[in-house]
Amino acid sequence: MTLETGASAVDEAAGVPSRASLRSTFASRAEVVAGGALVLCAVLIAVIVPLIDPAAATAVGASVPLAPPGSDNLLGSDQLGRDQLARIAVGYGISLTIAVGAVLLAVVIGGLLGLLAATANSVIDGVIMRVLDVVMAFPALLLSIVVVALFGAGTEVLMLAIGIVFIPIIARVTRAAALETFQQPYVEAAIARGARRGRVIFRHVAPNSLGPVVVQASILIAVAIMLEASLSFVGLGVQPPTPSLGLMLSTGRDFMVSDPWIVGVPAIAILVVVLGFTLIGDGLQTWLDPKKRAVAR
Amino acid sequence: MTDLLVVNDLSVQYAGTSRPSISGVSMTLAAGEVVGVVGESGSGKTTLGSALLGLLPQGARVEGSATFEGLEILGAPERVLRPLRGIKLSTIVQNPATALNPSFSIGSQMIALLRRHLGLSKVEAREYAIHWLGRVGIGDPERRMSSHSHQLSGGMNQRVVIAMALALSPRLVIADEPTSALDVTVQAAILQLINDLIAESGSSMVLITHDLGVVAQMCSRVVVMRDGAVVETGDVDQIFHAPRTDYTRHLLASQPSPRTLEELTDD
Repeated sequence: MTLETGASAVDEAAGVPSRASLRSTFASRAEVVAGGALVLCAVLIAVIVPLIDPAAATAVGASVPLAPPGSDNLLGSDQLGRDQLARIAVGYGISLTIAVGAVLLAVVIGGLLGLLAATANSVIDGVIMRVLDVVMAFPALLLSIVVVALFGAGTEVLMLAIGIVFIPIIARVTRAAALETFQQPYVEAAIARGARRGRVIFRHVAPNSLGPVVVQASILIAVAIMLEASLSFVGLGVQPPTPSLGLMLSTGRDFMVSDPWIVGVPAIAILVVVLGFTLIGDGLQTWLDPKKRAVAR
Repeated sequence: MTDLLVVNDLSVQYAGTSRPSISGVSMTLAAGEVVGVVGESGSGKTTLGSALLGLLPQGARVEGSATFEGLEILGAPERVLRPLRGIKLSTIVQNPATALNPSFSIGSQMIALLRRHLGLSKVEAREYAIHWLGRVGIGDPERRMSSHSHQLSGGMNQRVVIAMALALSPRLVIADEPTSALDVTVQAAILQLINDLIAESGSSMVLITHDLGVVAQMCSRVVVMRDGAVVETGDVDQIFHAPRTDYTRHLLASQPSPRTLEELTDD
């Protein structure tokens, strides 16, 4: 036989996606879009509202105290007559900055630790993971309280505090994913073809272990927002007069029965972003899988 | 002919197992020779291949010796193995679907390989990669460069894997069941392709397979393995026509009469 291989190779062309996989791709995409829309709302509020009146968030007595939502104050005013919408906007900005910053910190440090643990020998793996186990043994809130107590409250410290809590979580997810990827034939093949260690880790293992990490990161942003709100609620987070979602819940709780929107507004605000990031994380889980992604194109 | 690969009394025991997966395996391979390693699943064929490539998992205990071009490669450190890998010692793996990195296009993987080993510029490497994709029978290679492995069929993926394994004209190729994961209709074409390219570059090959028909067509000598040990070694003619051990006779009898490649492709 001569090379009729060319002809047969054409016949071997790629398969057609199945109906079921298309449906699941569509569902996960809808989740990502819905989650993205909620997050986008929060971001737009955080960016646009302060542009209209930069001082409104802290302007005491600008409106009637405890005014219900209406034409003057879209989301009502608090007990000191400050516009709730303006306070939510600033609170969103701070919350999102802290949450995204904390998760980025955790992804960079935790991701590297996880990759190292998965690809190094068992001694290094053991040391890294046991140290992270110790960190993980502390309850999240307690650990962040310790960090805040050590370095004092502030945006950067909150980022650090929450980031440290997340490092072991990201490291574990990365390690698990990287361990699985490391067993893949294409990683062995790359080693057999003479790829350097660094290249094997960062080109072959890391990109193919990214899916679960991105999903976890998205969900952790939601957790970070709640953690920041909790810390601010107990007075260890953002300090007054700077508005924060947690702080608004905390100061508003005395008026919860008579003027429910005082706590209702920040509670719904928290719900919106937390739900948004959770939906994104959930949807990405299916969507980021490279095989399914190809089908979706 | 001088021996390119000499394996002497090789034993491998995986961590956490009570007995060695292969023990006392010896074989030689001359330059330009194709040797078949046959046996049932579990006979230690793949372990032998992994040991020669230095790809055994952590904790595996290895004894004996294996020299490649006179250089000990068993248990050799990275700095000894890495200069050999890809350029002198290469591999074609069993399952082409998982043999390529799903995150990058096949073109970028080929270009990276060629640049690493041949020191080519990006443009030169790209041209050379396209040339090789064409050589392994991939239609419209320029367009296929940007395809990902999951967009290609098993047969096409295996052609890409073959291109990556042979583009650097390695001295020795270890092919572990290169066609078992493929459709029967594609197998013959892939074997022919490997055969042609190997002959052209003068590479040697260790062909690990359970298929005696493949061995009859491709190999000059055969190593028969069972339960981790070599049962019999000999020329293809001798093994097929005058097997010395009962096991080899049984193995031959278990195959639907040894077919030649011509018969296979005429079907």
